[in-house]
Formats: sequence, C-alpha cells, structure tokens
Amino acid sequence: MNGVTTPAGSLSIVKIPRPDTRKYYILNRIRLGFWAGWFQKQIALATNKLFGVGVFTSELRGVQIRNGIEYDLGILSYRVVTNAFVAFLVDNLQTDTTELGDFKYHDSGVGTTAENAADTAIETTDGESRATGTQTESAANAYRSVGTISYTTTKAITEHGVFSQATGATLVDRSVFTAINVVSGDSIQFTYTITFTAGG
Amino acid sequence: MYTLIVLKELTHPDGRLFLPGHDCNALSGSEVRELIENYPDYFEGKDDLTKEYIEQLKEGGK
Repeated sequence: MNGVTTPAGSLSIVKIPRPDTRKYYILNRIRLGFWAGWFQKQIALATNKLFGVGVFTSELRGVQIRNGIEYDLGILSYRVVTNAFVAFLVDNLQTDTTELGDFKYHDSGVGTTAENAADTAIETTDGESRATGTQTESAANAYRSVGTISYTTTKAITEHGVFSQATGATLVDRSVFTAINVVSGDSIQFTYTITFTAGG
Repeated sequence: MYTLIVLKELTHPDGRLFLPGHDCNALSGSEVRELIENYPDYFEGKDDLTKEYIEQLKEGGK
C-alpha cells in the first residue's frame, strides 16, 4: 500500500536585536558623573603612589546577557563606597567569628628597616609574647585595637605590628618609630587604628 | 582612655565618620580635647571619667 505524506506548517524567523553596546558605551561615557568618578580614582591612585598611603577605589563593570550571549558593556561607573559599608567593615573587624574578626594581636620588635606594603612579619622580634588587644571603634569607620606588651629585659623597641593570631598569621600593618627604651617590668600600651574613608 | 557619645552626624576632615548614637571608644586625652574643642555640640562624655575630663577641659579654657 503506497501513499504520500506532505509535511505542512510554517516557519518564521524573529530577529532579536543585539544590544547596541557601542551606543551604550558612548552614552555612558558622556555622563559628567562617569568622568568625575574616573578623575577622583586617578587622584586617589596618585596619592597612593606619591605618599604610600592606602586608598579605597571601586568600579562597576557590566555584561548584558541576551539569549545566552554576553555583551560586554565595560566600566559602568566608579565609586561610591558608602558610609554604611565602612561602618560594617569596622563592626565586623570587631565581631566576626572568622579570622577577619581577630586582628587584635600586637607584637613589637627591634628592627629598623622602613615599613613596606610587602611586609608580612615583624623584622626582628623582641622575644616577648604578643599581647591580645581590646577591639573597639573610635569612630564608626575607625577600627581600633588596644594592646599592652610587657617586657622582661632591657631593649629598644622600634617596631610594632598587628596580627590575626597569637603566632604567625596575617599582618595588618607594620610601624617603625624612634626607639622606646624599656627595662624589665616596663610595658607599652599600643593603640592601633585603621580608618576606612567612604566615597572611594 | 575615654568614651564619647556622638550626638550629631559629623564627617571629620581627617575622614573619620561619627554617627549619632555611636560610642567613640578608647580615646586618648588629646583626641577628646580636639573633638570637644572643635565640635562641642556633637559629642558628650559617656562615662564619669570622660565627663570629668571634659569639665576640666572647659574650665581650663575659661
């Protein structure tokens, strides 16, 4: 038995326009706010390079996804880190139950090499145990740890660091200063403060 | 060390942010003096030690 079947139906195509990334790129970059943010970021970075101070910078990038295809929109904006975030950072440096909340161990030493962002330890330890600092905040965006180190021998203390554990671990900041001459029985109360300024 | 309570919001020129109701803890005498002398309406002492110190500062300024 023979027969003929003829498929029937219709086929249509809908063109889905792709995002005009080039147009978006131009429109976004004629905003005054875009260039104000870019300029402020350059000033912050120049300040860091010139004076070695730490800075906060931020940027937002975007990728538009349409039908599974990614379209890179590049940088959308620079800034602004909020007051709420810097206050949150400071709060969690005090209360977080992970190592983030443990940057309170004060150590001192007798090394005199200038501080460097690449530092990871006290240059020359003084043999005393690290002091566990009291964590607090001196302002909403200023984390503070106050630790007192006791000395058992005569020495000239010239450096200090705050760490995340009683031994080893991560160094927040190393400071070098004119020698504080101590004898057995002396102690030094170190107050370390790091301030996170919003707006970056 | 002293403790101040923030009464009004202040962004200090040095970047410190003071929010109403927050405590400013573990302050040195010079820090308290700077804040009380320059921003007298923004802070008050939280504990007796700090309140006494502020009174001394005010009397010393008269």
